[in-house]
Amino acid sequence: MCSTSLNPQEKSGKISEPAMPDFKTITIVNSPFYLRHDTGSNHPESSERMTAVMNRLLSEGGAKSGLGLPLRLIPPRMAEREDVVSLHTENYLMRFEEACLSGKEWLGHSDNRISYDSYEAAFLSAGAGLTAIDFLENGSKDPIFCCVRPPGHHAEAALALGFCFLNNVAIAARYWQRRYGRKRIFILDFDAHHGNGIQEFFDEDSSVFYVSIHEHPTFSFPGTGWANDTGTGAGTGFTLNIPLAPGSSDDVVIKAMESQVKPALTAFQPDAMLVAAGFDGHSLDDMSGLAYSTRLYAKLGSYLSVWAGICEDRLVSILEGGYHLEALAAGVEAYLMGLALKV
Amino acid sequence: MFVKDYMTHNPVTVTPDRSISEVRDLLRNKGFRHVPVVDADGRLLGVVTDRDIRSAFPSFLASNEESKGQWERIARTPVEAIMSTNVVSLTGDATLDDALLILDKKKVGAVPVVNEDKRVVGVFSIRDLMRAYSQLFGLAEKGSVLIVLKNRNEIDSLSRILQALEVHNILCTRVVRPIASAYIYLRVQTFNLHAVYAILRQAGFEPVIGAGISQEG
Repeated sequence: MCSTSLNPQEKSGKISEPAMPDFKTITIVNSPFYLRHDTGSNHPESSERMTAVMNRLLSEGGAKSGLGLPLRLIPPRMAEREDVVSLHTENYLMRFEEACLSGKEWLGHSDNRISYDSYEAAFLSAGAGLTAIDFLENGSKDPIFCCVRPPGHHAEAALALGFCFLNNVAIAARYWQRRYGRKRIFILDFDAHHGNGIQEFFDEDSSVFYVSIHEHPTFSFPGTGWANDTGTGAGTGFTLNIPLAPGSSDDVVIKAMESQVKPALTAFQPDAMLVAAGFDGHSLDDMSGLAYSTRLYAKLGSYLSVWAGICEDRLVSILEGGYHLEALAAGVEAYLMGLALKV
Repeated sequence: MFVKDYMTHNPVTVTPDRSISEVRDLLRNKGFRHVPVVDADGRLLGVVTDRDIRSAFPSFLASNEESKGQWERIARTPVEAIMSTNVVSLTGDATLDDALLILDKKKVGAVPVVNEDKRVVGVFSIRDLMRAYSQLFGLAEKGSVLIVLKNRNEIDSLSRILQALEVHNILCTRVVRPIASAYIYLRVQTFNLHAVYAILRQAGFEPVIGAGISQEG
């Protein structure tokens, strides 16, 4: 054995402590009420999703995750009606509420399963983003994650689509602008599916920059998000769609983050950032043909943690899709680890 | 599936006595590239394209001296002198396939649509064709997703697929099984892929997810 391979500590008979990675405290916005949005049996957007993520995160009784991430759990508040009607129509909200209370099984399309409590759960899901924004604006610099359902990014002004009813991210963006005067909002959506709702709401709006990295619309739900959709009118140039071929894995996303997202972010100079965090691009998740690994989510978290410096760490992440329970829980944890890592 | 469903109805036409300059202005102002030439009763005589007009005008490189006389002649010359007379046309009842074959074979960008009296009732362009097929193929139809299955070349596979989907109330807008292809493509109107995959597996089909699709192109 060659002696040069030994490190000096071993020679002196002492082994120093390896440096442990240090994490910021992560705030999780979650409510058990989310479980009461009941989508029936055999539905991919099930309450088990929430349970899987929360069990994973709270595996040491709530103070720390299995990976040792320090956590703080806060309850969401309900979104106010005025927060929601700035985006969704009164008529749609009435139909939605009426459908839930009258015992209908779905809204608009049989995909969008509802139960008696779904309307309230949706307002509580939208409210989590607002709670998170208030928390940050009260002085927190720590990463914050809204662990919510139903998801939101497919929902449009008067349309429930793809298991989504209220557009949580869009509602949060408008709230941030209106309540705190953060004028320029940058949204990154890394769910495997294009967030047609977010794009639609801000299509003509130059104050919100929407970036989506998703499986190509020729193959994937909902069939929108073409690379040449870049916004309309005053919003031209404020939408960036990055469609990926089926089978795309981590390296393609990392390349897109470096070569497309980063320049867009730098040029836009936002006052605040929102992330539509979906975990269905994972290779185990058959709701898309993308082949991401769990590691990618850690990488995305660390990019965002650093890049949020551009807007004084005003960054809120909101859960969207992710339907393979194990991959979802692992993906969320990896993402939070990336977000929280102190460098 | 018919030309009349996608054509421009009651298109702008010109009579053969209009001058080349007038027709040029018309095409420019309207942003058209083709205009049918018709007689007093609206019957098709020919077509003038922006290319016919451009070739009738003097070159920008020509000297003032050279082009001066030509400009005057152009202002006097009726469009009849430069129009194409050997023009193909379609009827409204022609199919989109007829239109595709004609546009491709004749290498033209648009074709006049006439009724049984040869009166011009429409114009059908390549753009109209693209719009029609986009619609028929459900392109950019919100809420749909492509499903790819391995093609085992069983004679009853399409009927089995559709029956399985219909029994479960899953709306399918497109089924494509190219000849000799290893795959069958379906476009379904749902996000509940778990359910669709389960139904199709139960019917004896194997979905292809991810990299397999990109290899097929």
